[in-house]
This record gives sequence, structure tokens and C-alpha cells, in this order.
Amino acid sequence: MNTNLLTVRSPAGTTRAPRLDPRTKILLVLLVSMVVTGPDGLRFVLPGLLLAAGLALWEGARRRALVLCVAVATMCVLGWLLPLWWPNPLTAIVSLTCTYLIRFTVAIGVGMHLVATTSPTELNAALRAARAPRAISVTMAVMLRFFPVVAAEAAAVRDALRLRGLTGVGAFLCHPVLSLERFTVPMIASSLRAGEDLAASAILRGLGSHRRPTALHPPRFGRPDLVWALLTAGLATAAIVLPTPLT
Amino acid sequence: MSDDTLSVPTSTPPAPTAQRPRLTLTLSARDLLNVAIFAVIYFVIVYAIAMLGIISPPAMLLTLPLSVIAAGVPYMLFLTRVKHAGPVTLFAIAVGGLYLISGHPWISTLLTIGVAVVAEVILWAGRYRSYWSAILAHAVFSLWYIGPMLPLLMNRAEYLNSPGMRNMGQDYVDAFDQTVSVTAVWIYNASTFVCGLLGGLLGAFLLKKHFTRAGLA
Amino acid sequence: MIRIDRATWTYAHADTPSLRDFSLTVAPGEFVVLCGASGCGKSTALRLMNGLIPHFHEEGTLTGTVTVSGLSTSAAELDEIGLHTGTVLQHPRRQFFTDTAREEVAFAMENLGFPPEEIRTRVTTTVAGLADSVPIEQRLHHLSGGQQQQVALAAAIAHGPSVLLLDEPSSNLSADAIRRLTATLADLKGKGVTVVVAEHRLRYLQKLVDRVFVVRDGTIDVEWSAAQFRAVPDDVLAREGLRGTVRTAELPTLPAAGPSAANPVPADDVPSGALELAGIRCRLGGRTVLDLERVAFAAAEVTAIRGVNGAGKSTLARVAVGLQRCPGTVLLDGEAVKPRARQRASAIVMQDVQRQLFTDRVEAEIELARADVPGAPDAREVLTTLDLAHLADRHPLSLSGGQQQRLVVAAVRVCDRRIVVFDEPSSGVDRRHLRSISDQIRQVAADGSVVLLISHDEDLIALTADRQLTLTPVTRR
Repeated sequence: MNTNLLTVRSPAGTTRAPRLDPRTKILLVLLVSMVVTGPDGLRFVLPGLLLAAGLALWEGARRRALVLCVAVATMCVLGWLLPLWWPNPLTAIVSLTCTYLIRFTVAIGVGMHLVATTSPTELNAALRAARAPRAISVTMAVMLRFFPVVAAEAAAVRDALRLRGLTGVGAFLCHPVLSLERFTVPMIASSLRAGEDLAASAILRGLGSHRRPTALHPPRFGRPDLVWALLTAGLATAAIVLPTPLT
Repeated sequence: MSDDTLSVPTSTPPAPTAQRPRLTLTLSARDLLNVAIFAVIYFVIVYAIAMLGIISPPAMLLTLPLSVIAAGVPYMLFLTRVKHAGPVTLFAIAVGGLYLISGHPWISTLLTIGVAVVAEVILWAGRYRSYWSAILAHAVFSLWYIGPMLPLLMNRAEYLNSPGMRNMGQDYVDAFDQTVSVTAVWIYNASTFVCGLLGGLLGAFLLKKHFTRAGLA
Repeated sequence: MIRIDRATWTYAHADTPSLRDFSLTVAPGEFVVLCGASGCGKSTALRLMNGLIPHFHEEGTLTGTVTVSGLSTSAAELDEIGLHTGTVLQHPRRQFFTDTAREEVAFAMENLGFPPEEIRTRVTTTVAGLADSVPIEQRLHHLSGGQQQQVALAAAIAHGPSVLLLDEPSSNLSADAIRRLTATLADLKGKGVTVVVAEHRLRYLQKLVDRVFVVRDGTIDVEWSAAQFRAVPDDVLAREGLRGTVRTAELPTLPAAGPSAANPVPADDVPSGALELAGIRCRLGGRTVLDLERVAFAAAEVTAIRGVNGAGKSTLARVAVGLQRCPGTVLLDGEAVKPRARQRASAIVMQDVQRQLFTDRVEAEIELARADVPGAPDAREVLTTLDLAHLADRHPLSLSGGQQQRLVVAAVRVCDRRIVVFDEPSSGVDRRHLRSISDQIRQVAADGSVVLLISHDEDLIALTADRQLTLTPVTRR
């Protein structure tokens, strides 16, 4: 097992490379969401971006790191530079939207690290270790498992609609409610069907029962948690002390 | 969703808030999985439709209300499977968690849970079997859509001071402040609620048209 | 030990009971097979034994008593029954809760509260046993159907239940994977585990069974002892809607050039056809999933697309119908056609057909499909040919799986598409209707379309396809 800190995950992606404890990841998501969307949040946008991109690189998701940086850079241009060159009511609104969405982007970046690197059972165990009630830990874990299933069903329904020629802006504008019906009804029906076996099998194997569950790998704070906590503290201090380029 | 009338409570039960500590205990494993599955379906539908409009703000004006309406379809089906207190609030905690991960302000999650508690009370008043209280509950729950806008209201000065606004000069900002503060916020809230009602009606209609006949409700 | 005494069960929304007066006693350590055509109630009987009835399917009505390992299933909690029973449902892929074999094996023990030390020991032993046939570090959804089945079995028994329940374990397995399954089951029987299998293919269990029950219309029709069963000839089985041995489909190979083809030929040797793909190089998520230099499919023929999971079968179909954009050209009847135009000329019959039922009446579904096709046959006419006319006013989602599939095929035939893809059409459909599914597919081909059939089902492929194209995963370079 690789104990070296800050190594990128092995190409196979499944060995237990050093990872953050899920509780740390949840705390990071909460922390970033609170500071970035709070008063004077723009001050924390760039440090938040560094954190999100850093986590992505550490986990080996270079593409996500790049996308996040490009997205934030685009919003900086649209929100801060464009109105300087071309001040008018339209760019003013665009700028306002960007100063808002840029915070979303940074928070999503940290959230994606949580989703991408946490398995449903790990999340369940971590929430339990954090004394969350059974209802919350089990529900969150099942959602994490079920998310790709529903997303795949939604994509499949969209494909089916495309092949039947039932999509397109024109159809959507002419019959918005009919379009909603044709998307939501098959999507819900097939998702429920896909969830049926999953739910049956999970309940038979004791998920959500009133027993006290245990964990194969009980969550433990390790050196990566310390390192990232220190890095985060450093970034936060820098955000407060240093002048911010975005106002 | 079989009867169209409010059923009359036979006794005076304790207030639902007084039952809350007991709630987590009365949720069966089946309830938990049900909540999780519907929460994900709800989230995916809301996002799939709202994101159609991400290309431009004017498109957002159409897709955002449509996503409120579309959300009524999974929500009303979910409510047919809720027969006691708890799952509706847990549903809000679940989608609230998803909002948090997908970048929403944390206050949005709190608001989601808050409106769900109100929805829970409305449903409880209808004994979890009333047609109109289900629709009203959906409209109330839809008010979580205000959540993402809350920072714009709470940190108002900061947003009005954004670079684009600064460049337009103080007069423009004042005018913008005037129009947007009073009108837009209330129009937004009211239209969300109305769309929520419409979504509930659409959900109830599709329940009858599809899900009941398909044996899913 | 299992004792079912005169159980009658009706699902909510059903008119007739799925099981009626069903009685069965299974002794400890016994190996029992319940067989019969799909819909006869054999899967329902399994659900009765693991408590899913009445705990999971809440709103039906149950009479009679069921006792498993001394527990009355209607009084006990599901997790309590789960402690004594292990269940593998029909599609292992759909019931995995985790991403890796290790986590999956540990899952039940974690939830049931086993001490972590013990979980670790058992996971290590189980995983060591799996390692021969399954790449342990691989993500579960990348495994082949047979490997997924092995993991699901291991996960169902890791916590040491005394009863193992299996629902059609051999469906979608290759002949090789079935041999491995037989070996695993023999091993379990040797350890004294009570095994109940609901199955329509029987011969692979011949050496293991103690008793075989034929279920018909929700009740036990025939009982065979092991010796009697071995003496039953295959045509008697066929009459009961059962299959004896698995046949292997041997078909002429469609010539194809490129690294994705399992048996590539030089590009110049590929003849032309109605649908030609050239220079298709598709990368998804940073990995090359499909790399075909040249391949051509003939019209009015059924081409089976085969290959292991991850070989690019669905990607090939998605490229052909224009849902997946990628470099390369696609020629339809000799002309290069853009993805969007291909979408308008194509149809897919998906594995889960619920995804493509959009309306509230069977007839309306057909009307929607023929809306923009001039000269399409009348909806009633199509429904009559497909034996759906008596269902015209039903809601499509309330039909059985097989009827839903026929309806989607009907819609495809009405809208007259040049390229038609069938994605695993035999999974989850009554085996007795295999012939009728095959006829449907042949009909679509007879209409003059290019038909691609993605399937692992050897029986279906042997029955339906004219040629086969076997794909192989593109190795990293």
C-alpha cells in the first residue's frame, strides 16, 4: 500500500491510495460553501479554486482541475474585464451573474471531489462515525449509489426521444407541458424499476436495519487529512490577510 | 391520492413537531430507500430541465419555472408512498445535501429543510391522504427555489458593487436597486409558488393519467 | 430448513394470485430446483422464502405460513431473515451496492454488525477464492456477466447463511461461465448449504439436484427426484417451457478491419453494404472504446454484435444510429450521413423498454410513431399482427415485459427506420417467448432494415442472427 503523501492515484484507480477521510471532505464542502456564498465571499473564490483544483489533481482528475480553472477564468473575463471594455446594461447584468456563478463553480469543484472519491459504504460509515442519525447516513449512501443509475436512465430516455424526433427547441416551445410529460414519465418509471432490485438486495443484506453496523475499514483521520487541513488553513489565512484581486 | 376531499381528523393528535425525536425511529429501511431514490429522481429532473437554459439568461426565464413545474411529477408520486410523518422532511434533508454538493449556498439547504417542515405540517393536517394538501405541500416545498437567490438579497450591497455595475455609474445602480429590490423579488417568490401549485396539479394529473394505471402509485 | 404451507400471494394491482396453495418443504442441506416458464411463480416463491414477500412488496395479500430456519418470515424483520438466507437476484449488476468486490463481499456483514476483525478475515478468504476467476481490483460494472455473477454469489454467502436462494442464475451467462457457476454451487452443497434455484435451464444442475419441482400457474405441478429428473428427456422439458442444455451459436463472421474487431481482416477485403462505417475512432473518458477501420452491414440481415463487456458493442450501435459523435464516416446506402440525419433513420429497442414508452395508451403509442410517416399502416392493423389488439386501451407501462417489448417493436416497424438496433432483447423476457422475439427481429429485417442485435444470449443469437461481428476491447497503446 502506498503511504506516500500526495501521490496521484494508481492508474487502476481502485487500490486504496491515500485519500481524505469522508468527514474531512464533507467539512471542506461545508466550509467552502459557507465562506464563498457568505458576505465578502469573492475574497475566498481564488483560494477555493486552488483547493478544488488541488484536490482534483491529487485524486488524478486532471481534466476536472483544468475545466474548473477555465470556467473560473472565463467568468473573471466576462464579469470583470468585459464591462471595463464595453460598459452597458447588458454587460452589467452578465457581470452580476458571473460574480454570482463563480462562487457556485468553486463550491461544485469541492463537492465533486467528495462524490468522485467516496464510495456509498464509506460515506455511510463516515456519517455514522460523525454521529449522524441512521436515517441520514443510510439515505445519503443510497443516493450516492443511485445517482449514476438515474442519470443513466435520464440519458437513455433523452436518447429515445431524440431517435423518435421528439426533442428539439421547436417541440419544446410549442408543447412545453407535453415535452415534460414525455421526459419525466418514462424516466421515473424506468428509474423506479432499476431501483427495485437494488433496494431489495440492499435491505436483505441488512441496510437500514436497526442493528448497529460495523465497517470493514472504519474511517480514520490520517496524515492526508492533516496535510489538507493545514493547506486549507493556509489558504484561508491568505484569503483574509492578502488583498483580493476580485472585488 | 384516491379521495379528492380533506379527510376529517377523528381525534386531536399531538403536534407533529412533538413527535420529531420519534420520527427517525419509525422510518423503515424501505422508507429510507424510497426517500433516497425519489430524492435523486427529483434532483435529476430539476437539474436536467433547469440546465437546458444554461446557454443564456433569457432561456433560463423559461426553463426555471418549467423545472419547478416538472418537479411536481416525481414529488406527487413520492407523496403517494408517504403514509406517515418523517419521509417528507428526510427527503428535504436528502435533496438539501445534494444541493450543497452541487454548489448551492448552504443557506439554501437550510431553507429547503425549513419549507419541508411546513409541507410536512400541511400533509399531516390532510392525514397524508388529501389531494389538495399534497398539491399545497408541493407548492410550499417549491419555495426552496428562493434559496439560491438568498445571497443576492442578503449581500445586496456587494452584488450591486460588482464590476459591471460600478462601471454603469451610481445612478444606474440606484435605479437597478429600486426596481429589483421591491418588484423582482416578490414576483420571483410569487411565481415560484404559483409554478409550484401548477407543478402539483400536473403531478396529480399525470398520477391519474399514467402512474396509477401503470400500477406505480 | 424451509417450510411453506399452503401459501397464496397476490401482488398489489394484480387480478390473479401469483402463487396459490403453494406448499414446499426443503430439508437442511438439500439442493432444490424450481422450474417452469417465466411468470409461473418460481421467482415469487423465492421472494416468499427471503421475506421480500410480504415485507418489501407491501401491498399484496398473503395467506398461509412460511418458515425459514425456524423464523416465521411474516413476523421476522427482513434483516433477521437476511442473516439466515443469502439471495442472488436475476441481474447481479443491478443489485451491487458498491464498486469493488471487496466492499461488496463485506457489505452484508457490515450492515449486520459483524466484528470488523471477522469481516476482514472472511473478506480476505472470500476474495482469495474469487481471485482465480475475477480480477479483484477491477470495478464491478467492468466485469463480465459471469464474473459479476461470481461476485454476487460470494457477497450473498460471505456472512454464512444456511440457505442460498438463486433467481435464474444462468441467464445471460456464457457456457464457460455456467461451468464455473456449477462448480461454485457444488462446493456450497458440499459445505451443507441448503440451495434453492429458480431456473429455466436445467441440465447444468443435473449432478447437483436432490429434487426438481415444476411450477405452473403458481402451484407445484410435477415433482421429480434426482434419478427421475435425469431420466426425463429434453423434449419433455421443452414441453414444460424449459431448456435443457445451452447451445453455442456458430455463425459466419462479418469481415471487419481495425483493432476493435476480434478477427480483423485487411480493410480492402471488407465488402460494401447498406451501412458502412469507416475510420471510426471513438474515445470516451480518456479511453479508446471503439476503433474500427472499416465494417459494412447488409440490409435485410440480422448481424449479432458480440464480445465481452467493454468491447464497444453499445458504442458501435450508438455511432451507427447517430447518438454518439466521433471521428470517421458513416455511409448509408452509399452516401455519407451526418449523425442527426442518422437519428431520423434509426431506432433502438432498448434493454429496458420502459424508457421508450411515452404515452398513456397502447394505441396512442403507435399513433405517435406513425405521426410523421406518410402511408404508414393503420395502428389497429399493426397491433393485430403483433397480437396486441386486445390491449389497445391499456396503459403501456401496465403491460408485461414481453408485451412492452412487442409494443416498442411495433412502433419501430410503423415508423419505418433503415437502421434498427436491438439491445439485449431477451433479458427479462419470458423464455417461452424467445421464438416470438426472434420472429419480431426477423420481421424487422424482412422489412429491409439493417438490423444489429447486441446480445449475450446464445439461444437467441443462434435462432435469429445471420452473421456475427465479435468485438474486443482496444488495448492501450
